[in-house]
Amino acid sequence: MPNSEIKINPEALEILNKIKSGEYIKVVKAKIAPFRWYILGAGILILLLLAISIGRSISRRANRVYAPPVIDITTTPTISQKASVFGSLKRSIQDFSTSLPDPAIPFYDNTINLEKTLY
Amino acid sequence: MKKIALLFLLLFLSFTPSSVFADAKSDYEYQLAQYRRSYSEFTQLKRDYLLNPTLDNQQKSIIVAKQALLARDLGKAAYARYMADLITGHNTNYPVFQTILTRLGNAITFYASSSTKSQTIATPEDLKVFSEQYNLDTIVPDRSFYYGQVAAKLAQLIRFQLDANRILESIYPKLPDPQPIQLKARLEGIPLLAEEINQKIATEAALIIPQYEEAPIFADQYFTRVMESLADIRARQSALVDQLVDIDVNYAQF
Repeated sequence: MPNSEIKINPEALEILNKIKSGEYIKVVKAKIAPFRWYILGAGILILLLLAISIGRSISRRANRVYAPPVIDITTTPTISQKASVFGSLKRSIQDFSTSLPDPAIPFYDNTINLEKTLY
Repeated sequence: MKKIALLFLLLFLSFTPSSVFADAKSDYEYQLAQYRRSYSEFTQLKRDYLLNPTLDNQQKSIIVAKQALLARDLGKAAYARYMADLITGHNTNYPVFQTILTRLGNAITFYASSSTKSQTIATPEDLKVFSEQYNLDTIVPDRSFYYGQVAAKLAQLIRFQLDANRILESIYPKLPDPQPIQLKARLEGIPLLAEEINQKIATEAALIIPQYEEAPIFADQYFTRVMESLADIRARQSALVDQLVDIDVNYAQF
């Protein structure tokens, strides 16, 4: 089997050499240097907004309004009441009507005749 | 074959009129409706006859008057039977009511007799004489309606007393032995309350038929006094049953 030689892209080799030597970082630094104050300012602004956001969140959580418990409501205890054998009699007495006449006494004419009636 | 016979029997039963099983109440309602219809027709025919007294108008009026008289007396008889049913329906066997039932029975006999007699009327003079006599004779039978009304109400109150006593007897074996002091005190109070109610009912029952029966009865006065008494008895019974419920719920054991 013939010896094979590893072929490397010369451009990649050049970039690799630049990274290794630190020349690439210098290039990047040189490109950023004119904008460093803007970047710093933007960073501070982001930090500030983040701090405000966190602070507001904490503030909301601290001021949350809880409804106070209603203490004057008397809850009826659920005691199972035994049904009384007198229940139906009690209802019958309650439903008993004292009104009279019940049923109404019908009106009948007891003097049916063909005489002239004086009104 | 049996299936066909059964089918015919079912068909026959399904078409049998329910009026066969009519009770006194529905009979009374039917007769009252008949009376109202006949009486309304009679009033119109009488007016025509008095304006134009022809023989034809006279005969038409007499025929319809007889129908009204028949329906009136049959209606009254059915009403008396209805009252008697209301009293006996409570199965009280209260001795005082026997007098009222006898009065109602006499009233039914009178109205039945009158309904037959009225059908012999042929002339306006006959009708006049009949009505004059009827107006006098019907006073006592008509009063039985008033007595029946009160007796029916009292019978219902007596039934409540009897039922309360029966149920109380049924819970006696379920009460604890020995009885707690509070229970004993309540049980001792029950007969006293019941006796008070019984006395009230007896007093009212004794007043159903007025002392002077010949004196006219004014429905408002007669019934108002009774209604007050009924309300009082009902209130006492309600209090009694409340105590019985308390004993049952708090002391009766299963």
